[in-house]
Amino acid sequence: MRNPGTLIVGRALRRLVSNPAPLLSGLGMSAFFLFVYDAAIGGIGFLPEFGGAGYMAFLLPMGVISLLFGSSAGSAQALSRDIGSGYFMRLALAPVPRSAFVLAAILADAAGIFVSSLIVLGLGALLGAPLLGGAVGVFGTAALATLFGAGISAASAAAVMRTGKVELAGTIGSAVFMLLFLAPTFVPRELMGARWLQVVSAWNPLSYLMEAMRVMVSGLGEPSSVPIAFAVAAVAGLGGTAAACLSVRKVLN
Amino acid sequence: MPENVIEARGLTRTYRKGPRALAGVDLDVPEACRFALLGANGAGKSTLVRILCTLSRQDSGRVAIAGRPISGGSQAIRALIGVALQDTQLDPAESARRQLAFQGRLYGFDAARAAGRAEELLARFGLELVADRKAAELSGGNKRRLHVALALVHRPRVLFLDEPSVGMDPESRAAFWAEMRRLNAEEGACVFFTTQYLEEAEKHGDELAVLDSGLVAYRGTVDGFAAAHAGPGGDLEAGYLNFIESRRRGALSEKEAVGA
Repeated sequence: MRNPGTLIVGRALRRLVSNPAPLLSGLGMSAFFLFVYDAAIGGIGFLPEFGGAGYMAFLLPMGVISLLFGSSAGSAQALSRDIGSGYFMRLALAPVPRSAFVLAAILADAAGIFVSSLIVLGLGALLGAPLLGGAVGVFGTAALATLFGAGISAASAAAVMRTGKVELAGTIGSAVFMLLFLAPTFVPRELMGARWLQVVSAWNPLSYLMEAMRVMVSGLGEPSSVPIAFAVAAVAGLGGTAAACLSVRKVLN
Repeated sequence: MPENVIEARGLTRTYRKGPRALAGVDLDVPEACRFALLGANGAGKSTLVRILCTLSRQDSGRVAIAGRPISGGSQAIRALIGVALQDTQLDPAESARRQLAFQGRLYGFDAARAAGRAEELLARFGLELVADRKAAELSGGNKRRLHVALALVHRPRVLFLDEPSVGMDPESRAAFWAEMRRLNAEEGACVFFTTQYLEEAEKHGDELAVLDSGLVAYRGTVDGFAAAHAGPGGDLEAGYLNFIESRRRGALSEKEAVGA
């Protein structure tokens, strides 16, 4: 007999495959940003602050993180469809923990984000980024993106379940998207023109993700950022997931 | 084995920014009976059903299904009950066959048993010809049949049906009630239903309760209720209308007495 958990995750993955719009929009956004920013300001990559690996190596983590903003809306949209059709109520009557249906949707998003991250890293390599960290660096970066993306996905699902508004599915991602511009996304911290931006970037969790990915993918920057980034991603992932699981009762009442 | 399959004591529930839906419901429902819950719109029927089937929580009071209290983990109770609420609960993107089989798997059936049970229910509810259509493409009547069939997949010991025959054509309604009676007679399931169609309650219920203003205003047999309130030769509908009217008059004269 198959474990109901496997069945539930299987259903969530089938739904992700049959409705790939969030994943494709994340990938499209990511590829667009990589092409456009490399074309627009890639010429500055020769500066010593970029570590000598070329601008695409510096920019690539932005591509990985920006794909999260589209891809992480899938679970919230899937749950919203189930709630809207009433089917969530039917699932909630089955003799399995109700949070399993929420966790399955988040896991499906996480799986999609992991695969998409590998695609973006492959694209980055094709565009000239040296993957000096090898397989460990590539899979480590994908794992970091997945953990943080699961947090955004779960927070989006919690927002939709608490308010019943599907339009909130993308807003958590959009809010985090703005943090990209307050992080060392396009230039290192030391090249940021305004002092206030340097201060803000030091408090911005995305800064640590970005810098850790640079370390893992291309060997650029301080290795000490890697454990900090995993801690940030774990807090986001676990916090978001807890919020989503605690929101199930709100749907039923 | 407990004598009562449903036991509720002192159930209250008040919605935030809303009325008091239940004001202290006490209710016992015996094993293997067909039980009709009657009441006007807003009397608290759906709230009571949602609490009994573990979807909502009461503010106070306690409930036991088949002797097991509903508190905290209610998974064991959910394995015993089947539920078809007022609004259909289908996955619009999946076929009737797949939904029935998936439902069986959720209740622990292996793949072959789930598929077999799905075929059995498709045949019983006349859904064979549309079995592979997505639920979104089914007619209203077929959606309703699938909705009820899904509640039966695991052969529940108690079946909660909230306004189950709304939206069914007369033929489907007759087939539906025939199936409920069979389920009750052959499988010993308790069929607990709410309805606004009093002829259905009269024809298909053994026992009934009338909810009024969040309280059980009457509890007894269908025949006993009609005999007590309808007068000679009267039916359940006449009895129900007399009963509600007399309660309204009683409440009114109580208010007048307080006002005086």
